[in-house]
Amino acid sequence: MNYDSSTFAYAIEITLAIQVIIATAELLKLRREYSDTGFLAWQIQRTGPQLRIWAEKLRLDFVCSYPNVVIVLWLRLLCAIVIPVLIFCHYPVVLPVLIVAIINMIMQVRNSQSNDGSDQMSAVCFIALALAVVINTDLSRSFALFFIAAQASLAYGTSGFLKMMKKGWYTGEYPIEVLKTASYGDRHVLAMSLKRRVIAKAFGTMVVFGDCLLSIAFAFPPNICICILIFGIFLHIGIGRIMGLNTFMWSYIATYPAILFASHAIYSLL
Amino acid sequence: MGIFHLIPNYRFFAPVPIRRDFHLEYRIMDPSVGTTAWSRVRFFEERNMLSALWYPDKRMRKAFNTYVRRIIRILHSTNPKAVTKTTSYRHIANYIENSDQARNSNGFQFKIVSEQTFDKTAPRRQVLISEWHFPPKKESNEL
Repeated sequence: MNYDSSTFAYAIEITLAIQVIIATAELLKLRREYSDTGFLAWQIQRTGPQLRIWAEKLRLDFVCSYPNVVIVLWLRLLCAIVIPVLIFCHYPVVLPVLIVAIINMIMQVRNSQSNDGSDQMSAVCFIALALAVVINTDLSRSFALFFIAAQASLAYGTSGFLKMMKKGWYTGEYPIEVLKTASYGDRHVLAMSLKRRVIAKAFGTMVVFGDCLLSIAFAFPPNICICILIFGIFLHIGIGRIMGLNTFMWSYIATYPAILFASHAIYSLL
Repeated sequence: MGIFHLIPNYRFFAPVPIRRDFHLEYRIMDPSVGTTAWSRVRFFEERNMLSALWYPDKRMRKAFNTYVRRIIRILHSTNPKAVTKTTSYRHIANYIENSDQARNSNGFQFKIVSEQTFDKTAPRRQVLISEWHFPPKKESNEL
């Protein structure tokens, strides 16, 4: 396998671009909610204690108000579509990656109430990638890959080790309680779990130890690391389907090449 | 630069996950029938196989949950009456005020309730009930 930093950076850029395409298309479908009569009205949001100051300082009104925000979203969608095309045609991706990174930051402000952890991970990774493609050296790309691997490990570790301390995850209590909600649950999986408690126990234990294992995946030899990452892909597909967290799958799977790169770098030194 | 939310919060359902749904309900003062029964706002549809790839409703779900969480924080603070001045409360009030039903009414009231939607035996709790809101009458464009 070729462990060239460019190949890994491209793999991350393509996967993150897919996350951005889906996330932006979802936001464009809800574009009316950005108007002054919608659920995400900027005229109300900008009156928040922090934003009131920053909206003027950073001139956010121009890009965040309706309908301009919709144009900004269209621009992000276009750039995200262009990224994989440019990569496959061997053209530089500096400009679209930079634009997406900047718009992601604007959307972190504009959509602070509706953005989730996948958008946050995508925003952080795109900033690292943007810096890497601007500097455009093997070292800058390696730094970006290590940074992304560290972010992913931190995310999985925080989530996994915090869950590890609560008994409810192993007894199946918490998974069942989540499944009972319409927000993140599923009535069919709930019915199965209530009938056979072992399913809920397995689900809870798998999430806890899966998160913990993924957080230290970089410390395993590349072959074992790949197996852990494949498990992670299936875990995210399941969570995406049951809990309606579809974009998490893309933004977290996007970090996997960086984890594998880190694993290879560590074991090539040993 | 906290407004960019770039310092990650990676707790994701840890250590204790979300175990209740929040729902928004409202009623209006209708000029012809008086006060209507409570109606529930559906921010998201039940998920299907396609939701693993495409699920725009999660944005509305997240936004509403964020508003409610912020409202609850104020309700548990030393000044719970300040809740009506928060952006979260105003977002919700603005949304209902501009709904088709409320636009032509004399006033509206909303409440936030929590429950476990798929467990009918679980108790339903009221998080907040608003005062009646009386939107300013919009001037008619008719000549």
